[in-house]
Amino acid sequence: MIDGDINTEVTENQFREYKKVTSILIDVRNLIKIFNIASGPVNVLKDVSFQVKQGSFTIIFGPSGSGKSTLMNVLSGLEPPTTGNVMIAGQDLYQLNPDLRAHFRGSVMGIVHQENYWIKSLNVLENVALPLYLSGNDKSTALKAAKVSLEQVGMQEFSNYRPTVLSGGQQQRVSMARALVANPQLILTDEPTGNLDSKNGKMIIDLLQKINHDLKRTVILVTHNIEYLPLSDSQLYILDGELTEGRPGEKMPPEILESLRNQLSQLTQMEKMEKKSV
Amino acid sequence: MSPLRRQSKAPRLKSVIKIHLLSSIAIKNLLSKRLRTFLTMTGIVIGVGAVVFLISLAIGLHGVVNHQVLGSKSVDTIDVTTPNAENIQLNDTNVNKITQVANVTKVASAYIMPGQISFKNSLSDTVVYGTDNEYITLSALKFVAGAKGLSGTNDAIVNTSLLSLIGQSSSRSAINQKLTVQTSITSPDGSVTKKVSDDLKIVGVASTGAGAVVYMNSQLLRDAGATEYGQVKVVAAARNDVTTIRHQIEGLGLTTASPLDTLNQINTIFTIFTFVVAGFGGIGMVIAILGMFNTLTISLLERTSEIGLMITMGARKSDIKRLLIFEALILSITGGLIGIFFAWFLGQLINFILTHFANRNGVTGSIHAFSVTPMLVAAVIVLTLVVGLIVVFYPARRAAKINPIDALRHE
Repeated sequence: MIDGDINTEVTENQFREYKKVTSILIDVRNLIKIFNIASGPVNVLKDVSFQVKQGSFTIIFGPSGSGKSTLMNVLSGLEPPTTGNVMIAGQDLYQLNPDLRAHFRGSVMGIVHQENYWIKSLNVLENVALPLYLSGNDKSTALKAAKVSLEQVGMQEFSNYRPTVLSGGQQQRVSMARALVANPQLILTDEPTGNLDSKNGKMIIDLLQKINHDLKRTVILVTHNIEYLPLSDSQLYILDGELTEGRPGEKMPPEILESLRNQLSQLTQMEKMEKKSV
Repeated sequence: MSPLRRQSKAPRLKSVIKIHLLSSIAIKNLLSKRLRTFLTMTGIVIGVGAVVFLISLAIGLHGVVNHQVLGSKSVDTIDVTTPNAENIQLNDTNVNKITQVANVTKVASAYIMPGQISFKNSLSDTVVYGTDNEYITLSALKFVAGAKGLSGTNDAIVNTSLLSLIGQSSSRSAINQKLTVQTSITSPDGSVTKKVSDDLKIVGVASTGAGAVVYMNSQLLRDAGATEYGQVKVVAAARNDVTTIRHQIEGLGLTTASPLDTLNQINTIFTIFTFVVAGFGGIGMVIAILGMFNTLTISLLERTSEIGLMITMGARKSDIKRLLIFEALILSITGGLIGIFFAWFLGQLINFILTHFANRNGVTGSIHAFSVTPMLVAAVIVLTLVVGLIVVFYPARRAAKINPIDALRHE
């Protein structure tokens, strides 16, 4: 399909049909991602396969450098894998050209990043409406939907503010509103609480749970925070690019625990050294 | 916080971002860096303004020179003379042949010979034109008093130089005054065949060149035996026919001249002049282009993460390109229009001042030393459009190639 002929109705209808026959929203098969850097090839994702059910709250958990963000980028259609397939709502993501993939992403996924990114010349309401602008909606429809979305995260009173003047927690809530505005089936969040204090972090996690429970959206949360694991109904543990699926109530894989212990021990040592130097 | 609720109806998705929304974002992007946008636009205003100002000077001067040199002469008119009266005579036979040439609409002839004017007790040398009203009309004489043509057989039209020569300071008081014209009819070899003396009445005064001239009815000279015309004026049906007609007349051995010759020479000189002044203005334009390129490149660098964000939210490469193209075109076209306006305003101001001083010094009419023509405005608008597109080509191409993951890390 050429650029000018994007038919978004196909995406919606495709999704509706897909929902009737299966409860699997994401089906990842034999995913390998190798980065070629100066020192040689680095295998970041090693034959990763998993499925995510419709309406589930899935956590991708792993220590820093384990490949979580790369997996998230591959899932969101931003980082083509070296080999393997990513099927989302029945669509092989990387069979689409970059423009169609961007459009598919805009209509099926809502993405929340750890950092807050904004179009600085636009106010909060316009920033939230932007995904709808980009998918061809008119201004009034987009702004109306953006208002509803801001209400859902309790940020409607900040509509006319510049996003950059808001606090970190407020900005993350507006990001959440922006991710919800196009009514996507899948919400992908990459360490959304990473830059927040515990109070604001909890508020964001509560919001994600509500999005999952009340709006019946499939949520994938990428995190290295162990506290959030009990909130999910499906866990994907990742370590050195290898993925292990977990179930609620099951113990964490021993190698992940070992890795966490090592990181904790390194942090403790660094803290001691800092104290000595002071 | 309000309770979460499922949105009743998903917004209907259409194909691509609407143009007015994209241009609105482009305007907001430009306004978010007001000082930078203002300075860049000022550069464009100066660059475009300089080009328009200087070219409008060239156009204005071209018009002034054309007006001064050609006056109200028609460029479709051809003057025919004989290069050698002894061998090739400009007589009725040849005039008839000229009349037969295709696309010739009018032919008017004049006997031209040296003569003397006797007025009261003075005697002055003059050039005598024995002609008719058609010839006088085609000569585009500038009348200052009296009739604009010869109605009676003994009517005469004189020029202001002749009046000065015979001591008449007022053109109006010369009307209806009597004078005597003496001239000689000569054969082609130059020998005098008959002397002619006619008493004439001045019916009109024209302001022509430096020499004294009197126009009298050709019938008087024809009756006296004149056969050789000094000049024939030929009018072509259209300007495009002039060259062909001239070739055919020259084929009869006659010599032709046309205001088109002068016009072409003036056009050549002013084309060169226009290019030279446009070149000077172009220096300002080049500086403005560099400033604009710099602004767009810096803006792109500053907004790399914004572009990454837009791609993650569903923007296509062409949307990103179009956003930057809009920004560039808004800058260049707005700057261009303001530049054109300033150049026009300054030109009009100078025209007004020049006209004011000229009128104070006795010159009638207005002076248009600067002339902003619709063609110039259209050309400059097209130029600013093209410049905008050229300047944005590299930044837009670069923006479309941005990897969204790298872009989001860029801050």
